[in-house]
Amino acid sequence: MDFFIIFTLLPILFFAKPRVAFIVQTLSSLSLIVFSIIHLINHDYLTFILFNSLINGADFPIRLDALSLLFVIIISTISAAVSIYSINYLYDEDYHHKRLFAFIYTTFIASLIFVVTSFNAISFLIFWEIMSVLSFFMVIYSYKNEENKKGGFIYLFMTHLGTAFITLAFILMYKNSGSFDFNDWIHLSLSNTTKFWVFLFVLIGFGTKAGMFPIHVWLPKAHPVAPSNISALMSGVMIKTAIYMFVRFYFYFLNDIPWWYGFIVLIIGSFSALFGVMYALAQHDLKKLLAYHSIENIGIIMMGLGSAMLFFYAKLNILAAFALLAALFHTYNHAIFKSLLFLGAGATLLKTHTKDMEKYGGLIKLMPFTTLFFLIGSISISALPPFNGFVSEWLTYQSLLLNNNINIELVKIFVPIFASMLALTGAFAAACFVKVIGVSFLGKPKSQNSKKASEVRFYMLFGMGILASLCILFGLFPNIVIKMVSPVSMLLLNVNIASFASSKSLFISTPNFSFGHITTLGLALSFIAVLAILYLLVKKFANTQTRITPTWACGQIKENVNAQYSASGFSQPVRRVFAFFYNPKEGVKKVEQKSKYFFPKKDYIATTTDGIETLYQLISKAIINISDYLLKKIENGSIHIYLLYIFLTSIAFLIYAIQGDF
Amino acid sequence: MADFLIAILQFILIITIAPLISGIIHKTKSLLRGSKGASIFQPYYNILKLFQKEVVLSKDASWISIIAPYIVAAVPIVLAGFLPVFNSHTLFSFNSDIIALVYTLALGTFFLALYGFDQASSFGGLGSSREMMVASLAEPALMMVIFTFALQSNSTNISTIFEHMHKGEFLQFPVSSIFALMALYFVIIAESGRIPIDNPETHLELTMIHEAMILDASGRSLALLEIGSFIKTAIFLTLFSNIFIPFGLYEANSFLAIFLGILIYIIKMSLLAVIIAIGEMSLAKLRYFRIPDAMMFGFVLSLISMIVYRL
Repeated sequence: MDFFIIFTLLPILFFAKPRVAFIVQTLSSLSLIVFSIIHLINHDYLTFILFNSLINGADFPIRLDALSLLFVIIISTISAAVSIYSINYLYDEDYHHKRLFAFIYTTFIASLIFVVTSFNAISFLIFWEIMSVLSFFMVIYSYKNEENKKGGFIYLFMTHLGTAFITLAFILMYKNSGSFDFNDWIHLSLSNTTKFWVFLFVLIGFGTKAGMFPIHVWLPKAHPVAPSNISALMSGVMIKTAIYMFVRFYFYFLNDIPWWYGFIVLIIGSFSALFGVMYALAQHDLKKLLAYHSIENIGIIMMGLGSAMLFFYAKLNILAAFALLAALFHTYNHAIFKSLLFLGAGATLLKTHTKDMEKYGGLIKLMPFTTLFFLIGSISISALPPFNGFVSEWLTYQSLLLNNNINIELVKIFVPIFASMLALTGAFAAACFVKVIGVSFLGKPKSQNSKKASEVRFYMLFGMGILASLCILFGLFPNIVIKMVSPVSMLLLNVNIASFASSKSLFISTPNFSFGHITTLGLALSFIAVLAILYLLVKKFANTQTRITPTWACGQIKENVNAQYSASGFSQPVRRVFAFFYNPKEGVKKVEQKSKYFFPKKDYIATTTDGIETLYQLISKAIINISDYLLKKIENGSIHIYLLYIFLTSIAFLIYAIQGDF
Repeated sequence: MADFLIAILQFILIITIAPLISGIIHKTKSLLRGSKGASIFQPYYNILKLFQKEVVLSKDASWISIIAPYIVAAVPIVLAGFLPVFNSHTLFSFNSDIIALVYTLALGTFFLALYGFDQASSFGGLGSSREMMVASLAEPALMMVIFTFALQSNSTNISTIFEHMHKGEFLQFPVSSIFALMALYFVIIAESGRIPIDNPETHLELTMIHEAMILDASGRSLALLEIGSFIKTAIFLTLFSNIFIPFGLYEANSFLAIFLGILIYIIKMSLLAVIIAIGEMSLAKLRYFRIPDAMMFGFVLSLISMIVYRL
């Protein structure tokens, strides 16, 4: 236990020397990974009290069970890589108040770890709030920008809305168990109504943090404006704490859940996935695009979770464990590749000073390693084999297919539709990352800044490199992650999923091996073999000469870099086909009026609106209107009326006091 | 050992026959147009010719342009190793999962689309944009069809699905299968870029999709890209023919059976090529923004197939 506390809190002590703090954070994160893996393998689950508080029943107990340890591993993996990246990033990007930055950064990571290990409702909420508020501080770190202030405010509001619902759920649990201790909540039997409210409050409360549709609006505003290493942590791990609590509640605290709980999670998951990726496709702000992809991936995780809940309902524990494996695997994978992509975006942002993809171009030659790592991340997030994203998406597909074993007509009819939505999501994700890579990294530089870009420094590359190699490692050897998830399935469902999902080494399979099995390593090796043979054949028999010439520009002599295909051009067909969804506004706007006939300067404007945001705006406008109206009615400026209010209030209190006397 | 030889034979067969399909389609179209047309072996000559030419590469191109053609060609070749042609023993049988097949194909499309961007020309990006959208819209229908068959045969393993179909399961759900067939036809047309979705014969910037991406390719790069698209079409047609025309997938290892299997396979493929050619002759190319309607129609067909199977 001492080790755990030391590794978690040690980096904070070094905040006065940011570089040292980051190095210590890396080392202690690595130690935490080792610590967690050892405990996970030995099934050695510690319980201890962090410190006793004065209030009875509100101590700070820590319990490191399988689920907590898995999330500690996820958090530590990402924080180790991001901390290495930060060693250079903080100084190159030159943020003000570096010590403050380091302090918030290290405390944020510690709070993340305490959130997933706290075993008491009160202490959980305290750490949850610390986590939320610290990330809010990071969102508004460059507080002089209007965008940061706005994003930060929306984030602060939404996160507290979520916390309110979480508190409600906790209070309901407290009322029925008489304790704030999570130990007393395990498989608590609740009445059906209470269970439903708990389910709903947990879904909304933690769903807000996860960025699930339709309460995702804060995510694409807050994540992109934070410093990139913090965006990586927020998108990579902070939103995963919500997934952690989903699993905790739906598989550990609640008991005998009805089938439609899982179905609702499945529906929300598939809509999050599809809408997230569709909004992402229309974005050309690189970090905003990545933020929307977080919504998509949370959706995919929730699809796995939803099918696990359906199996859990049907008492098909092996299949439930399999679907849970899909969800948790994707949680880990998304943490890895999303932080990688955010770090990559941070690197390009650092060198080009803009988030607008239309102004990048040609970075592959100027920043070769960043591009390579970004490409690996893109292939992973597009779920293309043989990288890790593919493995978890394959598992998700299989668990959706296996939902066929549940004898509910509605599930049987709708689940294939959700699976096709997932297929569309995957294809759009690939399209989206073709756009990102194609427009920002390939071709010719489209602005002066990107022409001057150069490769980032070593530690930044090193941080990205670690994550990129993890993408490949977990893609080729998914059994590593399956082994880590296995104790969780033991804990929650009493099934050792490793003996079903990786019964043959190097294979991953459905619990019934013949239903579906695959080996990414075999796929990769056969692919490499074919590539090698192809290359040798071409080298031996074909003409191997290459002539370098300028690209043919339809006869134009002057080179025009803007003739390259742009990001908004790329997504134009999708915007147009799904116009009902995007509500796009596009057209040509004249910038200068004076040169009306000879080469007038024109701008092409293409904007899309997030329909849900419009809805939120409508709601907030309505609330403001109503309050305005009431304000005018109640506070009309006449002092007599105010005196009347005071009088009436006093009478009301008097009546209450007398009533209480009886 | 015999199994391994059969696997190799199937693998080579699917690769060698791939350009022939394109040749047959072209020949049929020419005959229908009343012209004599090139020999059905013309695609082979084209590829050989291209391999003998030098590559002209843009000065803005990066290593993506160098590796992408290899990846685009290697992906369908690997998949050809997944796919049972006339026997259920395949070269990479350890991996013949149908979801993996779809996603591996997507890997090829991904790099092909990147190739389009890499030369800094406006045509490439245009083609990539169009291709990615068509591929995306075809995906749900494809996955739905796959789901229908995976559920019917209780496996996502391609060999198992094919065997299942050959045991007469096609007739067990005839209505469902016919709808699935129509849906899959739409997907094949879209994925292999034929009329009415894309016209591989023109280079008109208003309409071209696949050709726009590879407009800047030449020499061996173009040859590899062409091989890739030929084999991709062959894979889809093999999938189609083995599910819906389930003759000629033999378990026996006798020489005669193999010979017959190959013969039947070639006949099936030629037949499908002729059908596609007739379809191309009788239809006009769709306007690009009508393609989503066609794809939606394909999806609805696949959905009907799934629902009918469920009922």
